[in-house]
Amino acid sequence: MSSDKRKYQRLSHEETIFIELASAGLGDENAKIALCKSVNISHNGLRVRINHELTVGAILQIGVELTNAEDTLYLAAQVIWCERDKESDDSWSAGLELMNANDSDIETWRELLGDMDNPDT
Amino acid sequence: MNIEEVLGYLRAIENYDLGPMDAIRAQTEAVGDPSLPQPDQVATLEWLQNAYALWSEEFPIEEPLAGQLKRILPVAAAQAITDSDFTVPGAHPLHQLFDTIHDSAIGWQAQLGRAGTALETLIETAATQITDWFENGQGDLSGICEDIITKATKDQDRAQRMTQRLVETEKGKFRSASARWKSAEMINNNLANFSATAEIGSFLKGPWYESAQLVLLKFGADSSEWADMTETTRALLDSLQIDGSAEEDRRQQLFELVTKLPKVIKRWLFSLHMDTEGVNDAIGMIELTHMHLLRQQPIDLVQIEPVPMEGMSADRTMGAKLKTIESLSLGQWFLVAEEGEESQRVQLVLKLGQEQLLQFANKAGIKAMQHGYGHFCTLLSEGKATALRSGTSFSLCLAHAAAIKTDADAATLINTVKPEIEEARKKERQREESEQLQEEQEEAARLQRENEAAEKVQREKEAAEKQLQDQKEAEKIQLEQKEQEKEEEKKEQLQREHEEKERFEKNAIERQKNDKEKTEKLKNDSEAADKLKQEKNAAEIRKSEAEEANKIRIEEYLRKKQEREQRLAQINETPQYRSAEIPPGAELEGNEIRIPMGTWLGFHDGDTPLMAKLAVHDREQDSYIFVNREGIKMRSLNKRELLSLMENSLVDILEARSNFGNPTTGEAEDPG
Repeated sequence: MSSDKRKYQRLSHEETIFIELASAGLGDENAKIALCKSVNISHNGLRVRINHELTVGAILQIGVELTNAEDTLYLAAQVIWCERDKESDDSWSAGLELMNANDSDIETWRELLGDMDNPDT
Repeated sequence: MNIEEVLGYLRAIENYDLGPMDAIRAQTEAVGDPSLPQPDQVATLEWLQNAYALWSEEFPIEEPLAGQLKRILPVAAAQAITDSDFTVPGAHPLHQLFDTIHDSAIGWQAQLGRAGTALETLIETAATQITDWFENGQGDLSGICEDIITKATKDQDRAQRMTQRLVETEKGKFRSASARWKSAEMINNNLANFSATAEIGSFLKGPWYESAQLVLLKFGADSSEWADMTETTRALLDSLQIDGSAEEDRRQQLFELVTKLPKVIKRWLFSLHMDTEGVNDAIGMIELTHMHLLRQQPIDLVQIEPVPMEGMSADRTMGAKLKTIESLSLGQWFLVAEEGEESQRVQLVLKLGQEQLLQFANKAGIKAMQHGYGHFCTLLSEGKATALRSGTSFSLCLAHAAAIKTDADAATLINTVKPEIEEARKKERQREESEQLQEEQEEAARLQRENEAAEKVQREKEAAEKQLQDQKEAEKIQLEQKEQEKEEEKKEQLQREHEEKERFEKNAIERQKNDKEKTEKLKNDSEAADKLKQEKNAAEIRKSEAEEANKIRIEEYLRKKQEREQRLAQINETPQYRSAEIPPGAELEGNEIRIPMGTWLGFHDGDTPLMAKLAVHDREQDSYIFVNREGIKMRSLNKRELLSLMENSLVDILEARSNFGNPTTGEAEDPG
């Protein structure tokens, strides 16, 4: 396996993702953040494995730490599907579609993943 | 001139730039009135006039606030000649009002924009309410002053909270930078002493460098953990310094080292905590290199370039300037006017001794500027930065105008008055606390009574149970006695029958054998249970470490997110986005409504009010999507629809805030 190929696979399979399950409210409610890993990523979305069930249709804030990017990318994503994993009762797989949101880093994301097109998500 | 005439002239003042005595003289001259106020009144009015002029000069605040406050001066003049409390600096509600407003307005500037609107409105309202009171004579002046002082204090508290938040963010930022710098320094010091393979060089400057920062953030530079990590770095590089001609002792030493190193390295690889494959790759690479060395196979050692450390050093040649910096107090306000730039009123919020940096915030609690110690000393010496005085400013000026020359004497006078005012407030607080204490005592007594009743019931229940148990015990003993008697009879019978005795002995031997087997089995079971317990403890420690590492990562993530939010917020603060036609918090940028992502809005165009936050603004699709806390879509509007709601006041900006909230209040979920 060449080193280039290995780097490509890491980029496409396992990145650190922060998902905001609930935002901070107007009162004293705190934000709830989940830390998980991506399974694969593409131009328009990503698939994650997470210890929490996500609500299909929900629009959530996410942060992505790409191994080849200096800064964390802040994005808005909609949950398209979410299924419990067969091999574990407390693990879910979910597909997230990225949205064109102002103030987000969607343009940077697409530049970084310009050559990729993964239809799995 | 009688008192009513003097008050009439004071009510008629239109030119607020003149002091009250000068304004009365101007009016009497204009109408040809030869009379003047009584000599003691003239003296009092001139004293107030001089004090106010001194206050304006020594404790300046910016326009239009200063102009609004001048409207209150005729009222103060009327109080000065009618209320004996006014002659004692700090005693009168108007003294306290001017003192408090100055403390709140010392950092105010017109360029603050929307962030300064609240204080500007408060002072304008204060001037109007007090002059209305003077003209109509209705209501209670001290009540009005008290209300305004409370509001000004709240405004100040709000600004202080914002400043505190900024300080925490900046401290966090510098803590991270310091960890980065110390980690790079430690690795570079070792790289300067040893050569390494390119792969190990990449490892040290990659995951190991990141892990070192996390160890510093978690345990600190004085911790045994950091010392261990530093030693591990040295040991790893030292382990590579061996060639084919090495002595057997050195080879033996290496053999011992390479069996220990992977375990220690794994322990500190925090940055790859979530990446098992990454850890295995790194450890595998190190083990492979050691394997080559042990087999006396050659490896390519090169001098590794150090980790870049740009912008990480501080000026250490301060000398005497440090004294100047030490004399500056946190919270002190300055007027700074650098060449070619607009002058700014800024508050010193942070001194970073190690980096030799001073950080300043404006009144809105937003970072305004940052200077090195040396540069700021230069600004002070060149008069481009001047300290702004604060405190009980107006009361001090009243004292100075009464020929009390030093601040210390004036402060003594004010401090003798202040306790009386605060005594009344203190008594009220004590009364409230006393009532609360009484309520708490009554509640405690009630709880005690309930506890005693519950204990009594419990004691009765236990007594009944004990009685029942004693009865059962007695029956059991009786039964055992009977069985014992039977056994004795049986033994006697066995003694009589020899053959049966032999069989009995044989059975006894067998029982002994069984007992021994049982004892051994119990021992084995106990050992297995101990082992299981140890494994469980180790798993719990691993889990706890993983949770701690995740918590640090999430806090770091939230901190970076907040910095980004602040940058965006500062962009949105620029005056060109302000518009009077749209609600506060929303901006009209060109042809577009500009609302920061995460802003909470209140819709009341339907039957029931709805609260939702802006999750997505898609310019291309012309859509604004609003969701609840859990991200569920509540409303979707286009620009025209949203603008229509705003123009008809059917939507309020409830709070423009970060989507990710305050980093200190984020809750970590279990990682996936």
